[in-house]
Amino acid sequence: MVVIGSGLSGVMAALRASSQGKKVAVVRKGWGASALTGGVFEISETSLSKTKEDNPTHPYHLLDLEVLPTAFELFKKYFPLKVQGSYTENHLFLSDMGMVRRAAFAMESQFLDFRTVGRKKVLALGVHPLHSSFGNFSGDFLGGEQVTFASLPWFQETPLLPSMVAKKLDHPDEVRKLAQQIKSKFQLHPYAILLLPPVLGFDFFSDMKRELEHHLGLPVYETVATYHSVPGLRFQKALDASLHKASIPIIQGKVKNFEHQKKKITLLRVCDESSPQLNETTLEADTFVLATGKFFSGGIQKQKEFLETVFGLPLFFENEPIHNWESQKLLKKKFFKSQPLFQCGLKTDKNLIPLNEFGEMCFENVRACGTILQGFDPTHDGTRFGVQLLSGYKAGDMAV
Amino acid sequence: MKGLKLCYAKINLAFAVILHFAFKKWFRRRGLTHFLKAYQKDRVFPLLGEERQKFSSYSNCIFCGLCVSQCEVTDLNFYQKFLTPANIAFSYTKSLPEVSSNIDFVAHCSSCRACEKVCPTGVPLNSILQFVKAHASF
Repeated sequence: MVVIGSGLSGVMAALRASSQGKKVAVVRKGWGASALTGGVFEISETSLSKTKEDNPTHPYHLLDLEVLPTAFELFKKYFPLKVQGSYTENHLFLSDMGMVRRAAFAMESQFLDFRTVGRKKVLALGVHPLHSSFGNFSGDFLGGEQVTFASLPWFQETPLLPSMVAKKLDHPDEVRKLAQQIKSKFQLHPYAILLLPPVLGFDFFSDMKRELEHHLGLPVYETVATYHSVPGLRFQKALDASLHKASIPIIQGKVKNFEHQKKKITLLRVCDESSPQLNETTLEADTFVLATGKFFSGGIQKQKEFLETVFGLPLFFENEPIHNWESQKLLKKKFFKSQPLFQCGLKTDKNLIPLNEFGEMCFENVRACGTILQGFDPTHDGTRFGVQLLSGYKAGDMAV
Repeated sequence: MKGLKLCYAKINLAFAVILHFAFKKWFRRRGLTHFLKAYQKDRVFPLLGEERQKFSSYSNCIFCGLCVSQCEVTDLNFYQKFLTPANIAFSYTKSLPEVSSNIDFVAHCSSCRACEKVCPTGVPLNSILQFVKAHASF
């Protein structure tokens, strides 16, 4: 089996297939939108049945929701980071823009559920040159003066980006300096919990968190990121590590073209443009899993018309083909609402095989999984993790 | 009266055409030196046909910033001697004169290609940096 794309769904499909004893390879041209996530894992905004009711084209209709625990167990077996949470209810997390985010799971270092904080006082510190500085927010959030927002000036001179701060804080000495800085600026005794933006270390962040807790003497948590930041990079690295753990090879390169006999794809040609000698690899497989994602990761594109990029499959919005629609037809004027543009994707049957305009299979041995499926908006819907996990698991199961 | 005016206009036009073919074709300014004389002030430089074809793929950058996290030179001297790879790639979506403003930052690139390996849209970052290096004298 060949999996195209190494996001969460692609990795899930590869893990599932290899756990059943199949030979799997992952092809990728780079990191995708999984590296742009904020570190929370959302299954549904309200409840699974309500999500299904509200949205008749949602991928949950195609998927078997009962395998969620087994799929998650498989994910946890190979995923090196600790993930906390529960399937049945959503937890409330504070994002670094000062908003509340609902999610089922979060990484261990970010797992501060605001429903369990109670009357404890929380100090939320932003680091000044980063975007996530809380200086502008007032204290009346989540009921009164429970959370105090403040901004901590970064002690080194140059303006920094989140990933660079995280790389600097990957060392105990730097964490000690940060602790001294916090101690000298703020009186910590009225507060029970300290919240920092997600910059505490890159590879050893749980150790660095413990180090800071040791110096300050109170529990330290990281906020949830709303835009691309360090948690996403950690997440993608952990996904790579889980592929490595399951000894699945990663082939770097872009799919150049493919060969097919009637409705069966036989061969993929992958060209690696980033290496100095443009080496081409040909891959033969029984099943091809398409886990390339939506616009951000380049899985679907609009050049002259809307098309899927690898196999040139047609795209749909609410079961209607959109290949020659104008983009304006899919855009709403309201900025903060979910845009229909991000809901378009591949239409598949129950076995996740992509269909064309006439309801026929495009290619028999292609399975689509992850955010490339139509009917849900990965950024606004609050169902991204559930769909990726389940569809990846199912696509891995379907391998011949 | 109307016919006379039309006749006058046609004679004028014919005279202009004759002047154009007789003189301006021989005295037209061509070549790289004339191009540079006209456009070097605006920092516009001549492009080859191959470069022109590649230019559309240069502007695929969506500024997600994943390359920044991989770049080792950025970690060492950010905004002092080296701009992030994302900034350099993203400036191509604007205009050609922007290229020359990146020149100071490109010289420190070690061309390790780590940025290219993570790019989600497949921007050829290394060839962009080579392109800027090649046009550094402008």
